[in-house]
Amino acid sequence: MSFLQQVDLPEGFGPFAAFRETFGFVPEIFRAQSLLPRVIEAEAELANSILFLETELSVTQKEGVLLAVALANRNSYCAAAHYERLRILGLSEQRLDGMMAASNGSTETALLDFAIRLSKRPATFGKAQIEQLRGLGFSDVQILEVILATALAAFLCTVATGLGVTPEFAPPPFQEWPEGAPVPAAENGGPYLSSITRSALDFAPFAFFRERFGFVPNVFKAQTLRPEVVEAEAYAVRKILLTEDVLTRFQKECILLVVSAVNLNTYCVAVHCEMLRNLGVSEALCDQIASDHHLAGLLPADEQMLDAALKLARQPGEFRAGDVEVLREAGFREEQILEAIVMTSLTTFLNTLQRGLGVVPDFKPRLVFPLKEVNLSHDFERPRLQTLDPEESKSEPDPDLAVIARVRGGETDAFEELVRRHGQKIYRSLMGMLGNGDEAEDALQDVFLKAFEHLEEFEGRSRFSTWLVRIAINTGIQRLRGRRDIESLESDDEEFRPRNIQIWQDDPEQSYSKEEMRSLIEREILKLPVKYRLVLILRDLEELSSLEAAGVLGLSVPALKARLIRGRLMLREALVGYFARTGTGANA
Amino acid sequence: MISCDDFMRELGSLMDDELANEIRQRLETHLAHCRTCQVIYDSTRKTLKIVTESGSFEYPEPVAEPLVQKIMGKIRSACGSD
Repeated sequence: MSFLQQVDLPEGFGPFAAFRETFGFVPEIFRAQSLLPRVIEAEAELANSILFLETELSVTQKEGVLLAVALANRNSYCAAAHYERLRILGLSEQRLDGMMAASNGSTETALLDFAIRLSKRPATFGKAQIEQLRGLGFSDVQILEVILATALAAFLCTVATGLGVTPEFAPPPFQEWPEGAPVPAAENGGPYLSSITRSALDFAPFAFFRERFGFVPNVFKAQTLRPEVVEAEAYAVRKILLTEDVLTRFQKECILLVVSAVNLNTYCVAVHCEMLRNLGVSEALCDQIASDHHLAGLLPADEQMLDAALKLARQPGEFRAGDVEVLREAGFREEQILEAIVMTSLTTFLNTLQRGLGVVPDFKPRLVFPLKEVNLSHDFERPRLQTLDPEESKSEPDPDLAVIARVRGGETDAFEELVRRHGQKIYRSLMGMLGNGDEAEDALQDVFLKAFEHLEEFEGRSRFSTWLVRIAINTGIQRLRGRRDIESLESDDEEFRPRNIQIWQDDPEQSYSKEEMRSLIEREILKLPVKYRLVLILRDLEELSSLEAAGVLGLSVPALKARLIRGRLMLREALVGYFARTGTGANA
Repeated sequence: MISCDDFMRELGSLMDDELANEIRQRLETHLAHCRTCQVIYDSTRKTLKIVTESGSFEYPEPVAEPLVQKIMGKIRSACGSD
C-alpha cells in the first residue's frame, strides 16, 4: 500500500531479482516506485555500493546506522525494515536494545550518535564529531562510510514518507535522542576527510560530471576513498536528475534549490544556482527561487510541487496522502509526483553528504546563511538568505546604461547613439546567419526597432549589447525559418571526427589576399549547419563569453562548448584543402 | 595515459585556456607523442586565428549614415514624435 499507483514490473527486472536474493523479498518501498524503473535502478546501485557490501565497516554496523537514523526520524517503515534486517543478520534482541539506548559512551553508540546528529541536528555537527571518531580509532574510509550510510538513510526515510508505504514488520519503539549544542560555522573548515585526487581524464564519473555540469562538484571529489560509491552517485544523477521524460530539468533543479535552502545548505544552494544559471535562468530569478519561490513568478502548479517538497523535507511527520492529492489536482501525473518525491529525497541525500564531509563551495557563493539563522528550531519558516558582497558580483558598469536612461526619459534621438555604437556588430551577426547583404540590412532595421519598442523590458541583467545580439539571433532565426532554410536547432549534436590529417602551412594567411581570405571564410562558415554556425558567430566573431553565448541561445554552458568545438572542427575540415602543405600527412 | 578520444574531448577547453594545470600538462604530454592530435590541434588553432582576424561579415565601415537615418526614421514614426 502506498499513496501512488503501481504497475507490475517483469519478473526478471534486475534490481528486484537482486533484492530477492538479499532479503528474500522485494521491499514495498521499491515496489511503490514501479512507475519509474530507472529510479529503482539508481537506488539499487546506491544501496549496493553503500550498504550491501562488506567494506571497512561491516554490514551490521551500517544497518545499525540506518536503524538509528530511521528511529531518530520516527520513520516506522524504515525502522521496522532495518530492525528486522539486523535480527536476520544474527543480532540478539539484547544487543539491539543496547544499540538503541541513548548514548552510553561505547564505540558503537559513538557511531550512532554521529549519524543522528548529522541527519537530525546538522547544526550541531562539525569537525569535532569527525575528530571524535578518529580518536576512537575509526579510519577516514570508515568515517566516510558512516556519512554515506547516514545520507542513504535520510534518502530512504524521505522516500518512505513521501510514498506513505506501510511497514512490512512490527516497528521497534522510538527513542528520544539528546539534543546537542550548535557548532559555530567558523570551526568547521573542511573538507574534513582525506581523499585521493582523481581526474576527469581517467575516472569516468568525473568525466561525466565535467561533460554535463562543466565542472566536478567538490562533494564528489571528497568521496574518492570509495570510488565505486562515486560511480553509483553519478549513475543516480544521470537516472534521476538528468532525465527529462517526466519532470523537466528546470523543475528538478528548483526542488534541489528550495530544499537545500530550507536545509540551510549554502554549498548546495550555490551549486544548484549555478546549474540553473547554466540552464539560462537569470541570477536574480535563481536567488528569488531560493529565498521565496512564491514570489518568483513560477507556474502555480510548480509552486505547489515545491510546497509539497518542502513539507516532505522539513515536516515529514505531517506529510499525508492529502499532500499527494493536492498535486494530482494541480494536474501532475502519478510518475511526476513520484519523481518529485525522489528528487526531494536525493536533495536530502546530497545535503547530508555535504554537511558530513564539510565540503566547501566550488565557487564563491552569492547567498549564505548567516550564522544566527542556523539554529535548532524545527519550525517551518523559510530562513532568510543574505546576499554576499553584492558589489563584488557586479563587473564593470554597462557603458550604454546612461544613454538608455535618456531614451527612457523621452529623448528618442539619443537612441541614434546606440545604433551607431552597435550597428556594425549586429550587422555582422545577421550577415553571418543570412549571408545576404540586403536582407541583413533589412533585418538590422527590425532589430533596432524591436529593441526600441521593448526597451522597457531590458532589465540590465546582461549587457545591453548582449541583449541586442539576442534579439538579432531571434530575428535571424525567424527569417531563416521563413525561407525554410534551417535544420533543427534542437536536434542532438552528432559526433564529428576530423578525417583529413594533413599538416598546415606555417602562415596560411600569407597564401591569400585579405579579401580572398575573407570571402573564403564567409563562404565556408555559411555552409555550416545553422546550430554550429550560431555558436561560432557568437563566440569567435562577436567574442561573447561562453556564459553570455549560452544565455543568448538558451543552452547550457557545456552544451554550448560541445557545439563550439564541433563547429570549429567542421570549419577546419572545410579549410584543409586550402591551407595544407602539399603532400604532407600526419603519417607521412 | 590519455587517449586521442580524451584529447579530442578536451580540445575545446584547451584552446580556450579553461583547463586546470594538471589536466593541461597531461594533454601536452599526449600532444608531444601523438602526431595526429598535434596536426589537429595546430590546424584548429590556425582556423580560429584566421576566422577571428578575417573580418568576416563585417559592415565595410561604421554603419552608413543613410541606414542610421532609415532606422531612426522608423523609430520616430513608431513613437509618433516626428
